[in-house]
Amino acid sequence: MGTQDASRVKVPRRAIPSWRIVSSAVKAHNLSALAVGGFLGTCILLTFLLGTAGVLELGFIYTNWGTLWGPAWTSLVLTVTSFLLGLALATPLGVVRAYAPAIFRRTREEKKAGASRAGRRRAVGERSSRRARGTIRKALLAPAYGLATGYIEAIRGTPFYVQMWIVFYLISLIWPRLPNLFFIIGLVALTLSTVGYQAEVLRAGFQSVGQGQIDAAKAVGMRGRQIFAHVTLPQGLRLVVLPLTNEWIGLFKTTSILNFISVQELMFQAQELGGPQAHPIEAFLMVAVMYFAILMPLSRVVTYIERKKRIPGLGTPMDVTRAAARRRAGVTV
Amino acid sequence: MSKRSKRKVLSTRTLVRRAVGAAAAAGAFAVVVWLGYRGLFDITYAQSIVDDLLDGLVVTLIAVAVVIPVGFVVGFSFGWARTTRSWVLRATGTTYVEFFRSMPPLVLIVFSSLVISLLLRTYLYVEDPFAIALGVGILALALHSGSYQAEIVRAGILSVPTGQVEAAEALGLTRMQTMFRVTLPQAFRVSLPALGNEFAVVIKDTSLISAIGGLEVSFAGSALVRGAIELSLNHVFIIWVEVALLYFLLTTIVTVTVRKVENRYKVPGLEAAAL
Amino acid sequence: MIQVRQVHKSYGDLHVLKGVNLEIAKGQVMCMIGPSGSGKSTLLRCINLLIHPDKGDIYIGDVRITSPEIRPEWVRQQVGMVFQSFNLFTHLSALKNVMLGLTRVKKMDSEEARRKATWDLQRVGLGDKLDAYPAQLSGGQQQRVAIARALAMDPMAMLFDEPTSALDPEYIHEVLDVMTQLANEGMTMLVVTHEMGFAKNAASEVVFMDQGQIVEHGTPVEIFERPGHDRTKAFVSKILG
Repeated sequence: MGTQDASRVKVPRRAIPSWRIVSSAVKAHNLSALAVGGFLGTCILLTFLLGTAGVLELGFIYTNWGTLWGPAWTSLVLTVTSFLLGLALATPLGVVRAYAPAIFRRTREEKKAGASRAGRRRAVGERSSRRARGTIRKALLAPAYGLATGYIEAIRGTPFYVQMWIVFYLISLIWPRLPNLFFIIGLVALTLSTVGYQAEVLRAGFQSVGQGQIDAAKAVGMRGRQIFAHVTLPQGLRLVVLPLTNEWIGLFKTTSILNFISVQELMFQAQELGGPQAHPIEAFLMVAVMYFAILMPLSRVVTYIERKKRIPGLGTPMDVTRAAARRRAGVTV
Repeated sequence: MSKRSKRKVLSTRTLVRRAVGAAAAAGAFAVVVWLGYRGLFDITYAQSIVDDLLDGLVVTLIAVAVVIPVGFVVGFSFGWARTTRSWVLRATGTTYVEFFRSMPPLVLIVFSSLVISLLLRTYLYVEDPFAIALGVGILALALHSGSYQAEIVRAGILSVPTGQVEAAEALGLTRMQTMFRVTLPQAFRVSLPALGNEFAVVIKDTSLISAIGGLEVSFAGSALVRGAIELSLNHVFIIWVEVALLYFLLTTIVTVTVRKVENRYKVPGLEAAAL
Repeated sequence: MIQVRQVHKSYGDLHVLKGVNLEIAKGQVMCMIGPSGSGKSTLLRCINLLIHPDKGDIYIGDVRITSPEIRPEWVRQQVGMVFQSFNLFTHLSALKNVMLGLTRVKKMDSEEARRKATWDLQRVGLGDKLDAYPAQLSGGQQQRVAIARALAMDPMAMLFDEPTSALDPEYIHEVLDVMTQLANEGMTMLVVTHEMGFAKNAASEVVFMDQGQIVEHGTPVEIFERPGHDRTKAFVSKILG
């Protein structure tokens, strides 16, 4: 045949010069950034107008601005620490949740073989110790899976506010004279909470790694643990970065709830300024700007990465702008 | 048109598995109650607070019933706006989403409530703006949830292959008709799991309304705690565990219901679009 | 029946259609061949106004569809389109796919629409798959549903944009059979394709398009065996191997 007609060939993802897609995406990105920037600009303008009109006390903002840095740092430390701790703890949970069902699912052959005498005899090349190990592993795995699932469902089904109080009373009951008691309670509560969510993210990540690659690894002769280390883990990491970043953002927002147990984070300081010092509007502005400044860039980064890592054929979101870029570049169909 | 029978025949294995699960749950509950009567924890106290907590639960349900629909209406509008061709609509949508997503819900609730209180007291000379402030706080929560729902709706709409939109136009359907007959039915199916998750989040976030005086379950819990502290910390635990169970019950009901709806509208042969 | 006069279309700096002239008579089956990027799909989409030409006119019958008063929806009722990637509505059964245009555009009542849709699906050989969903159908079956969907609107002409290019080889002939059957029934068809067999059997005229212009046109025999222009010769020799 030797035909060079490109429309016969499955059009590869980069059929359009990539710079064209990127430039349109960046343009759209800039447009939205422009919109947000414009909105912020109007807000700042409004602030000054209201300030001069006497509704807002700009002087208050000016004087108390500095008080926010410390608490902001506390929030950050809390978030990062609990996130990392949570990640470490959630990994085994995620692994158990991802692989236990498969281990327990007996294949049709195993079921048939299990019934007959021949099946129960040792297979060629199989050491009896392997068999025994398998049974012990299964015996340990079942309760582990149950506990993991129970824990994750409990965390995901209840509000952090309630979890926080339970941890609070638990720890203050056992170690009432711990230094930095409230901070530690907050840290523990955050960690326990994020473990629940991260475990689910990790499970989904492990299970989403293409079965085809795992089959290929098996065909080469790799065994379970090797496959996990060399195929699942690296691929899974890529799949998991996005949801974990979102989880980080959520965690940072959750630290605001810790103000109820007197942890000196951002929301606590804001309440200080807004409540007792009776300047809620100014306090809100300051704290909103802080949260906004920290979280907005992160979520924009997330959106940008999302845009770039489309997988064609899986019901992908095709941006209006992207489709327009395709049309403009002359690619029809 | 005759409705195809959607009732699947459940295999004996599934039925047995479900029966065992239900029996295990009932058994666990029975064990806990028995332990209570044996003195592991103060079961009479546990029973006594149920009424107070249920009163709070009613308020929680009312709050949820307000936040979810309002959030959906707002979220759908802005989410849809982000998929249109007009850059004005898109920019507005993006601004709304980025603003409300970057703020912790607690901050939004507390401060919207405080600000309104202040404004009402200073400029409209309202004596006790509590009710309105509470309403505003709940509204703020709705707007916050709306921003997440907007993203979900947007992703759903964009996941419908553009070829189908083209085919619909080629048949002669107007933009509106294409939207309602082709895009939205499919977008809805794709978004269901994510929306269900968001509804569960809303249920949990209503706990924050206690901060502005909303008399929902967590508030009832805190109030009880203030009394129970004198008794013993065991009682405090009983309170919070019961509160947690109530929330768990709510979120489970929502999740299960959404899954049922998903199954009812599932298109044979098609799995939900990945992620 | 369909006349394309001096149509131009550009996307930014890319001049896709450079003064295309075409005339398709009633009942004629015209095949369009040409390298990718030559503007074939764009031209097709101009005819049913999915794309608006920058310059030039297109007539369907006596109606100048490029005039601003014409409603695109009306044009699309006159001319049906079948796509390379089928584009079936995945949330609707085959029957509902075909009924959608009838009930929503032609405003038929649903009983009548159902009868007509059933008949059209039987016409393409899928009478037993009425309630199947696209995901349950093979590629060839999906494309035949797409043809039935376009056919049900009783169009004056039908446009085919590489209808078999996305099909597995074993399904290609079932779709081509349906298309040949349509041709024999006298449907006016404009088909962009690489299936030379179909072109030779069913087409009355073949058009070679390259770089936005119609380079040559003639009967299938003329184009495939005695091409005039060098570019045509080069392309035909590449396709026929």
